[in-house]
Amino acid sequence: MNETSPVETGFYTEDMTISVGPQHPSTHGVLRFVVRTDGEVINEAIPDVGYLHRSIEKIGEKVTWHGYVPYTDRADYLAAMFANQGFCMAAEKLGNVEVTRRGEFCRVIACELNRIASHLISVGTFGQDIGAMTPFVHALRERETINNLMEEICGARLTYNYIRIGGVGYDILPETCTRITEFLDHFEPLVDEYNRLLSYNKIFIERLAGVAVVSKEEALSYNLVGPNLRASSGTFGAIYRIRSTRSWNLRFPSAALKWASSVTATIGIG
Amino acid sequence: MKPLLNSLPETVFTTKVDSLLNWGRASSQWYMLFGLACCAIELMQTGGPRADLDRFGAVPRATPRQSDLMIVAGTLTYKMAKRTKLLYDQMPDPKYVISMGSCSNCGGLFQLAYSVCKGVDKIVPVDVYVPGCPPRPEALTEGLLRIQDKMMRERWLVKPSRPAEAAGQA
Amino acid sequence: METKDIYGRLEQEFPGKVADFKGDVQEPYCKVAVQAIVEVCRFLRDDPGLKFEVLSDLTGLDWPKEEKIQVVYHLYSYAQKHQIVLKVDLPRDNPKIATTEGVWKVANWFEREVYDLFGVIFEGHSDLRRIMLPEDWEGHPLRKDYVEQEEYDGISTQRAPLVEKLLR
Repeated sequence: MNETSPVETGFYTEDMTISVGPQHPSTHGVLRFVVRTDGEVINEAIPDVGYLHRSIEKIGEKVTWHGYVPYTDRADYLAAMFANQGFCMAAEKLGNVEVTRRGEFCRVIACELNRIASHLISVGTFGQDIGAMTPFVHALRERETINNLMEEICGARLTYNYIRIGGVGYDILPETCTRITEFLDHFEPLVDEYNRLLSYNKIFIERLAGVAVVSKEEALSYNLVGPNLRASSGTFGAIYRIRSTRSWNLRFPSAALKWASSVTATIGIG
Repeated sequence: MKPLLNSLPETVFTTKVDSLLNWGRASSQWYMLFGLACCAIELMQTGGPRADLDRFGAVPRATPRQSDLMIVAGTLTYKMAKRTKLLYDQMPDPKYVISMGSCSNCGGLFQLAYSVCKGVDKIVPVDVYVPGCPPRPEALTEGLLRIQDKMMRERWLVKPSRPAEAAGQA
Repeated sequence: METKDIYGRLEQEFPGKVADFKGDVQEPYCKVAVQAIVEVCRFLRDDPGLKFEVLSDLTGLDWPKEEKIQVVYHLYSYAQKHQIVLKVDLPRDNPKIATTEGVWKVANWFEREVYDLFGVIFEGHSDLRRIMLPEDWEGHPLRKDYVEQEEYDGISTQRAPLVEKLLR
């Protein structure tokens, strides 16, 4: 029970310890925080995890290699293609399986579409937590189009089971490719709209800039990856891009990949 | 007095009040956001622009105290089971539960898992099961409409005489 | 740096404590003695030529036939762009190892997970308790001889096969 000095606040206060429980819309799934707050400022938040421990490691001992791919879907359900890809790349390394060139291209297309969908949700719910309800509904509308495209490619809207060991599950047809390029043409100007709604919004910046700063050594010591690491390491954060060094087997500086990366980087995350 | 009381169950007036009450309740089911895993994303999409749950009057509420429908969307683990029962008890009567997705119906594809509860109906009584992994927004909407049908069939002003049915009403 | 050279440096610094380098696999690894793991990790992190600032992963492996539990450390370096894997063998009936929480802070949660799922005790850990399973869970699931308990908290863990139910 800490007491803040009356000189700062004008009156004596105490910290309150409350549990932001497993069911809460802002926890985005089940995650419990034991939070020590002083009014509206959170002094300490101790996470309590494990409410969604589905024991897929133990299941991996019991199912076959190909039969494990749906379980990797559910590990990260917003970026299911990437989880599939990670597992399949590991299995291919172990088994010395070579993926066809067309398979690699199909993988990249599906994964980058999934990246856009996942970042739409993250941006939307990020705004929703701050209080901006509008971008969330916009993001869901775009996501519906991507879900339709995914359904054309592999038959499922969320848990795809598309990337298999040695290639992909189904071929991408030319009609689907036409629709994908139409969607991308439609989506590109919307990035500016989302930026105007959210990223360059004065309230958004004032609420978030400078909050919970993590120093570079702490970020490396805590094994942060992705945007958290690049943000905490300042202007030289570009050396921490794992994606360009370790992820794709194809080293192709193609326009599509660069464009997709630039779109997601402009949205603000990725 | 006596003839009027005796004829009360057969008049049209009672039934219409029942229907009115049920129609009011069915057209404004406030569901509690109980999204646990991947089905939660489809739940959000169902509340989104295309398959809109709001046109049926169903708005999401974060707290169980203000909701009368609990959509259990996602995998239920044993660690979460106690909290689920607590949340269900905090909802005011009359309350309904939709079990969305195959993980909450029967454990889903995690049958071999040691930490997954094989079905949410081991913990709370379920009214409608929506199959799918994850179910499409249209499927969840159908589940909501089935709950509406269930609500419309309930009777409030006239208590049924059979005790078994009375126990099953609430 | 090549992993062979990293291993060469380790052998120089800690003679007798590291052994068994395997270089022709996808992820080259070397075995480290139990007593020396913290100083080896600290050396790997602080040495300017090696600079392993990041502990990517800390997991365990259960070898029931050889009566040992292995704790595996995956290290990666952003500065030098190299990686190495360290493995430590522990006896299966009393797995104890010193904590590397002082070297990388992320080891806190990783070690809690290994304790939870394998039963390895990390000495010196600030807060060793179960992380993924409920606090009163019995047993360590990722061990190969784990038997699922019949019921937890009054909920039975079995479910009758659905087809049978329909036939009845």
